[in-house]
Amino acid sequence: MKHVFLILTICLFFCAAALPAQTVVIVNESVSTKSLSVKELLDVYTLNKSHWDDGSRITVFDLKGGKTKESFLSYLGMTEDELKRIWLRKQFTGKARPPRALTDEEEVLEAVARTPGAIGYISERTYKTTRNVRIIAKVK
Amino acid sequence: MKRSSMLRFTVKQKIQLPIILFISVLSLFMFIYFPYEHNAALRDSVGNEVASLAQMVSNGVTLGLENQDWAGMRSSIDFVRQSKDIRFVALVDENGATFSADPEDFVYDPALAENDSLIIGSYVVDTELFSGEVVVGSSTRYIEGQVRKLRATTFWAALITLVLGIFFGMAQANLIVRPLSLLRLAAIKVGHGDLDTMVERRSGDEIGDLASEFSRMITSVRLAQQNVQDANAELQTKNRLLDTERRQLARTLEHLKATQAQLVQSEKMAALGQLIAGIAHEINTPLGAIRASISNIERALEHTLMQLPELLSTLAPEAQRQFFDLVSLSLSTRLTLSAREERGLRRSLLARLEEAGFAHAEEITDALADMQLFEGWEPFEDLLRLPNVKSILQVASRLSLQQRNSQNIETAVERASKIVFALKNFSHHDASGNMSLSDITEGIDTVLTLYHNQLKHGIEVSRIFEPVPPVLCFPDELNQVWTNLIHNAIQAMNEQGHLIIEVKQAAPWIETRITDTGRGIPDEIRDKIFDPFFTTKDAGEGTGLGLDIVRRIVEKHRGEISVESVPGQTTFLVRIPLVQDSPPVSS
Repeated sequence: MKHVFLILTICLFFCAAALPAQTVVIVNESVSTKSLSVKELLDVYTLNKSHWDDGSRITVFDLKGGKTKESFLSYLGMTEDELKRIWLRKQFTGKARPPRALTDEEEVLEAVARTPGAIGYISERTYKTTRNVRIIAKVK
Repeated sequence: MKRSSMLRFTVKQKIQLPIILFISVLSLFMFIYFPYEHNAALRDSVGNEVASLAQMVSNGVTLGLENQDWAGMRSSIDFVRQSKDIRFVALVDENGATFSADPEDFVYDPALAENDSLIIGSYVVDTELFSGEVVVGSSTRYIEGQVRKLRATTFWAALITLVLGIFFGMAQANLIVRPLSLLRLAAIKVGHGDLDTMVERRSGDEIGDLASEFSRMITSVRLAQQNVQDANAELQTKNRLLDTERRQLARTLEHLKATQAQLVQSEKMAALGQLIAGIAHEINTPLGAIRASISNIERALEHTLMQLPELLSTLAPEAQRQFFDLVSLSLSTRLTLSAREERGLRRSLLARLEEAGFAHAEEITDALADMQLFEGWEPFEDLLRLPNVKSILQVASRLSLQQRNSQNIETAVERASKIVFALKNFSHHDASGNMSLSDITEGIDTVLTLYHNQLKHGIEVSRIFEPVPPVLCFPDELNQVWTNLIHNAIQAMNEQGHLIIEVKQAAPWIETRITDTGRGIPDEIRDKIFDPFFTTKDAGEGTGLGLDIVRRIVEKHRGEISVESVPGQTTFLVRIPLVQDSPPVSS
């Protein structure tokens, strides 16, 4: 079973690399907000916005690297270093909850599905309609 | 060694003060040093702690940036923030500007980095994304609290040490000083003469030894004092004994003095006795001569009275005239002849008478010699040629004899009266006790007169007297001097020799030298001859006071006496001052 999962993951990775795919921003189903502008998304990812409009806490998930991350960052109009600096600054004060960087998009999907108030981004290919995740924005 | 009165410490104080001083200093040191040191040590350790916290945060930051492990970074910061007394954690960039900090609004100012109430620790952050350092600040409240606690503790500890130290210092001082005080009291008592004081030994240390030694010393002193008292008592006894003896000696001395005076007196008496014996002899001689002469005269007168008328009747007038001429010639003739001269004259007379053819030359010579007519007989040749010449000459010589004996009596009387005169001079005594002017040579002559009898047989006397002025003196005492010296000289010469007496003036003295040709005075006794009781004569013969008396008399006249002697020539030199300018030395 473990081997099967590993092989499947490798296949998916190659597929994603092979095909230029769209990046989508996903949230846990508990999030009441329906859509997010780039500005709002930037606020969330620069940790300036820590709560959803309904007052629930935002949990930010991140990818450690990859094409998906690159496209996401370019969507936000920031470099990775800029974002890291912002995070450093914010994290240092202790005001914001630390974003969790994961290696695998599947992991992000599962984590978002599992965590109420969570937000993350993955390639569209990885997204499945099942489980408690929905797309809140699409990266152009 | 005058000590300042101001700074006079008792032994007790001398012990107490350093102890108290030492303990005070120690307490003060404890009170100041320990908290200070503790403070420094605490700051040091807090500094290290803070620095290691900063390192931890720095590691967290690096991990956060490189591995995106923000939760790890956050938990390290939270750990630091939760640590005690941490005031802030700051991320400072290379320019010193605060990049971010917890608490959020904190701005780190490097200029105020470290002060008394703040301890800063920092650690470098060096990543591609961010370079700077993590600074952690801790308040010193904990340290201050610790130090305050320690200060309180040390304060009480110091206080207790001080109190206990003072207490023990005083106790120790008392412990040391009490036996000393006892010793001092004992010493004072001993000083006041109480030698029964004993000092109890209370400790085994040097003071205890001192107490023992002190007791031993007192015992020694008591013994010594006892000895001194005994010795004193003995001394007093001996002193009394000595005093008694001294008094006895004083009595003996007085007795001796009296005896000496008696002896001096008896020496004088002895000298006088000798003198008197001599004088008696001297007077006896003329008296004998007078007696013999008177007896001669009586016999001759008796004879003459019987024979003269008968003879005259047988003589012619011419013969009678010649007879009386012969007698008167005889009477007018005074010859002093020695026996030898007389023998010579007699022989030549006899020869001439025989030459002239006289019948009875020998009888005539005898008769003429009796009449001392050794010459001038020629006018009486006719008379001498008469047949009865023998009876004529017998009568004539008896007449002449009467005359001659009368002359002898006269001479003897003269001699006796001369002696009496000398005696009178000799014993002349001025009862007033004052000096009188007297010629020294007269005194010497007087003595020579009195000693004539002893001198005339074998001693030749030379008187070499220069004219000297009379001097103030005690003449009779000086006579005693001459008597003793001349008497000694006669004895020294054994009545055979030459006595030279010189008197001359040699200012300021009149010098008298009495020289004899006797046996001399040996060198070894010359210094002693003037000492009283020194005598070379057999015991009982001389008193040994003769020259002592001479010396005393000469000194009484402020004169000098000395002696020079070699065998065969001994000279006593007596110097009497020409002028007596002060009263005589009382002897």
